[in-house]
Amino acid sequence: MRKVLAWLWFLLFAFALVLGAVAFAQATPEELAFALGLFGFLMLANPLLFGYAGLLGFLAELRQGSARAETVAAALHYPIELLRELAALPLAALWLKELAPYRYAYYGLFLLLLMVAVAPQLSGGVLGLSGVLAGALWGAALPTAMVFGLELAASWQLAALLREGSTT
Amino acid sequence: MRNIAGSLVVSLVVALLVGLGAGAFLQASRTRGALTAVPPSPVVVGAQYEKKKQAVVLELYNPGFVPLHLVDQTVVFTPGPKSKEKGYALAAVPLNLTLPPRSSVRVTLSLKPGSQELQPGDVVAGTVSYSHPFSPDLYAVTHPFKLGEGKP
Repeated sequence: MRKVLAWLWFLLFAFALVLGAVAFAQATPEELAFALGLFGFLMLANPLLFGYAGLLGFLAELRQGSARAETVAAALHYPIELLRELAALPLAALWLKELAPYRYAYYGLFLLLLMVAVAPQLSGGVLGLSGVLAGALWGAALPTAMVFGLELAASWQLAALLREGSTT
Repeated sequence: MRNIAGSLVVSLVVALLVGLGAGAFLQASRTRGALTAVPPSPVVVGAQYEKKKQAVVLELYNPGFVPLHLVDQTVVFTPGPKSKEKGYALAAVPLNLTLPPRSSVRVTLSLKPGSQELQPGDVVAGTVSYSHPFSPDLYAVTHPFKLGEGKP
């Protein structure tokens, strides 16, 4: 059974490899730049995506009353002794604040790419985006939209919990 | 953001716009690649007789995405019933013009020096030969120009 599964996995892996090689060989330069922008900015967005997703999970636990300080300590690499005395809501706020520098750097790099891709078009008076830089920009726009959505959801959840806490 | 519906709608709209933009860009890059592999054929969009220069001016338009090289021109003059001039041909007058994509250029077909003015009914057949980057061959486009046939 184990052996069959290993072989199946190997076949799937080889199939994916061939598929990827064919796609790479047939891609236009714009599509290669798109893939580069997509995967490069996905790696840059990695702490933010996992951070906001983890924070959303923590906030859901907070609503159910099962939130634990250990989760935050593990995610932020803090010693648990520092956080054990804190309530769950300040812990969530701390987590959101910890992600702010990553978000700042990420949006800054995206803005840099946007300017590099758009500035030549502006100086040439041509507004249609084309070329490899535009491909990298569109690739980078996908993880940026994901980061934006997750951040919006996490900050909304936290604000809603704070409002409920202040009224009750 | 006061309610969850608002933030859901905002992030959904952003995601849709970004997805549409990325998809449209990738599709456009494929289309551009396909179009730049097809050699175009120039189109004559205008022709008029200029009395002072004793020439017929053709306006050639390149509708494609590949630049064309206009190599030379040939003028074949066929007299109408009112003309006293005899028929003649001026072959392979060098032109050496580059016609960029999606643009037009004016080509002057000079008639034989010292010949009579064109009379209604005369026909001037202008042939422009051109080449494109994918082949060393010469192609030609011929425009028969007839004076006094309802041309503005």
